[in-house]
Amino acid sequence: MHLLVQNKLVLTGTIISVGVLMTAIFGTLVISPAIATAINLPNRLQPPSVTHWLGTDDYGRDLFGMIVLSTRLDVAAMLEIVGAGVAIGVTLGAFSGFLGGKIDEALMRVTDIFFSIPGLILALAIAAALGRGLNNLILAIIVVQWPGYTRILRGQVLAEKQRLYVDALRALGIGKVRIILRHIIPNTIYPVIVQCTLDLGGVILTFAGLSFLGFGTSALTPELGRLITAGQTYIFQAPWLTAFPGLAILIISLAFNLMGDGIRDVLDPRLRR
Amino acid sequence: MKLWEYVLRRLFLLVFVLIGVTLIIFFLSQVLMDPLALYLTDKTRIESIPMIIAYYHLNDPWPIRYAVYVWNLLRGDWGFSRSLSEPVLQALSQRFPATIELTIAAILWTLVVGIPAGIISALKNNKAPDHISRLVALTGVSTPVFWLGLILQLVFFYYFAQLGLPHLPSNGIIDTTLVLNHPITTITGLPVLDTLLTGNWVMFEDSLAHVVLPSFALGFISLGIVMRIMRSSMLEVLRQDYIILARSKGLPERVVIYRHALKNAMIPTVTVAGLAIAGLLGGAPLTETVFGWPGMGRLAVDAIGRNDAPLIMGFTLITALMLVLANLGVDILYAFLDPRIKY
Repeated sequence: MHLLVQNKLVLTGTIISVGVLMTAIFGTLVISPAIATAINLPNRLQPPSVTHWLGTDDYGRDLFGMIVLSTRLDVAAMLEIVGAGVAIGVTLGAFSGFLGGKIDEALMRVTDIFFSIPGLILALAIAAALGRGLNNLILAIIVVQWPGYTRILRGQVLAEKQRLYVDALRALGIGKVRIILRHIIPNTIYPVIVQCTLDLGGVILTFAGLSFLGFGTSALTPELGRLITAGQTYIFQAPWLTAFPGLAILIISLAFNLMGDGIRDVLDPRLRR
Repeated sequence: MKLWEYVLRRLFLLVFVLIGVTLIIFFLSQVLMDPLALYLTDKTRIESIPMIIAYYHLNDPWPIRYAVYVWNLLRGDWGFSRSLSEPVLQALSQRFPATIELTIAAILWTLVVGIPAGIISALKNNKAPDHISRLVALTGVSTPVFWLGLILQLVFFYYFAQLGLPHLPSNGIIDTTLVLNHPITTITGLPVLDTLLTGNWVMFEDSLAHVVLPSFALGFISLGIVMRIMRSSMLEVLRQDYIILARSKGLPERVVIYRHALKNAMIPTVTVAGLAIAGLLGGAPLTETVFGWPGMGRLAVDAIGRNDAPLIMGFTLITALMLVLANLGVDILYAFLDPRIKY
């Protein structure tokens, strides 16, 4: 734990990450969701001021409020995507690695295929095939994420199953499924934890990017990528509309990346067990 | 195993992977969506629909449909773009050179800035240049590429123009009015190369100016990754015994670094290259949209707005092909560079 605190950059990242999570969860207590629909046209495109800290958008809504409201959706999407990806990837990787044989070979070829299509483009194609909508977008990115975790976990499981305690458990007659779930997975999950914290930083970029292109939510729902799309039209007149949402994405991504780096450094000695 | 045997094995694997990719795209375009959508345009006449269904075997069970689909892919029939009313392959190949120019320029940024920066960062470990480049690298992987593009446009186009400074163009691949006076002869299809080869200096300068911002935006993320890898592998190499030996032989530091350390430090960097290329290809649609770049990526993005699925699928297929070939190239390069690898 103290390793996490030692490196100032990592500490900053962790604090900001926690702050982002807090904003996402408790943001609506401070900023009313009604802001998203409080269209105030005489007030549109105002530069940052004392009343509107980050200015107003083309509908007259306070940009700071919009950004705070957006974090809720973006962070929720981020956690859902990585959570589901890890759940699927870890399960597949553990069973595949432990049971071995043809299933393992087949699954590895399948992950090879998924790695051959650039992530964003695969997500784009899936989202296009499934149709517009937030859930389809989240599903599309989950499909892109799971192969990575499968690969990592499988590698770990291959090494782990050589260890003596596995033979001992088998000798006791304990079923394979139980061994995998109760023993193998908890012991091999550390690299996956590291990777998924780093992925949190990456997934939000993909999610915001595809939202920017028009997938996911509708135009009125506050979402950081969408805010940038809206701001793009007025980029030269009202640069704050594009600058601040993007800065928010950058800060969120950077914070989780830093935290992920820190977790990796903390868990690293343990990886060499 | 010899090198050519390794290459042959990898090519075999490549074919297998491509089959898998076509399966995925087939599933997306013909199972999740109406199979007819791939071959209809707004101009297709209703009477010809039964003929189309028969020709592409669209009423047959899916294995037959898949076989017909792949056979047509190999023959160059990738479906018809609904909104453009032209064959998908034709639409993609027209815009292919622009995307290639953008991607190559982005790779140049990554290598020319990333590798030296990584080396310097390792040599001046924990001093100011190291901290700066580490921060840049970390920011690089956290930056949304489309936002970076917009900010670059804002600063280098708008604000520079406002301040009266020479500014870079924000849109397109060449100046469409300027080219009327200085027409470009198409050799490769890439304006920068074509103008260079024909001595069309006005347009060379123009196309160069146009490619600077988009390629930097696209390359910024991979730049960060390469910087980090270069730095950590260089640090690893500099700790090795043979480096101490080289120094104790009295070799000048420059020789130690460039002739001995660098070659070995490059190896992990090459392995990351595959990932970096995937990132570049993925970032292309976003960058091309922001900068109005007439490439395949923007074609796909426009196709989204127009619900033109065949174009999106064709784009996915071609980028997968590019990535697979690039990975093959990287693997061969890797096997070539590192004599310790047993393949």
